[in-house]
Amino acid sequence: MMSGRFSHNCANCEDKINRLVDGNCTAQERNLLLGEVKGCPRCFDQYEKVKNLKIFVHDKYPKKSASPNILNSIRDGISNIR
Amino acid sequence: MTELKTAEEKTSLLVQKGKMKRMSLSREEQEKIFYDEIWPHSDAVFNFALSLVLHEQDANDLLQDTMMKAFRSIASYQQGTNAKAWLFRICKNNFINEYRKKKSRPNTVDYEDQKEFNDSKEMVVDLREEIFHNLMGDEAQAAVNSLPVDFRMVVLLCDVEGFTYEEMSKILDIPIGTVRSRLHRARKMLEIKLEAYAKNLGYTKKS
Repeated sequence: MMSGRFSHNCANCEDKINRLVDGNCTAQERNLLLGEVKGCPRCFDQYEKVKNLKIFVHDKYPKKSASPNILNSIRDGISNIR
Repeated sequence: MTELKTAEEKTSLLVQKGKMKRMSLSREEQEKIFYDEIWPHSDAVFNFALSLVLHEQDANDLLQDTMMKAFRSIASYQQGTNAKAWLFRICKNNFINEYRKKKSRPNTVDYEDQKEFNDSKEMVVDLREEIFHNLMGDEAQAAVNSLPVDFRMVVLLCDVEGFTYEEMSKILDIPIGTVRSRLHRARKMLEIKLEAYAKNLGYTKKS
């Protein structure tokens, strides 16, 4: 847990930026982290980068479907398990 | 098979302690749970498998092995829990046990090399801006797939599949702190790779 008052250190902020972008924090922590990140131009810059990178990977990394042939083959295999 | 035996052992232990009722399922019930809760994640597992082995036929084999093992161990799956994470864990273990060991040299990361690589980076593009919109899926795929597999896994589980750090920790059998540090390093590596793509495509904004 974080206290309400703390001194900012950019080197210690990178993990916080990832947690913030990934939503791996409570609502209370999120408000504190966001306040800290927004208070430092360098960290806010990094926050924007990581956020964009996450969106980019999520949206552009290709998603393929398993072929119907392999799915049928798996179904057949399962039906043969006794 | 180690991980499935372990899961089975854990189930037995919980049953002995009276904390869990062992599922005594008919064949029909097993199939219902499997096809209702596990099967809908087939495409996600296939994508994950493909990103691990980087070859479609191997991904099909890994998917098949994963689904068959999942069905065989359906009694250790607790209905209504996180079926996708359960299945991904089987897939990851299968990959490590069956596929990764086939390689003559394991795909491991030299952290010192990686540190040198990170330290040598030269900022040439601004990733805050619309550079990403100009890059295509090919670049995303190439950049992610070029990461060492341990780093690739965390990026895919987090950014593509949306798992939490806790779920990733369970899937990968590593502490949450390791999940965080791998994710951080993976993103640093990705930044550098994508900056290089952007630069090659002429999208440099500043030097």
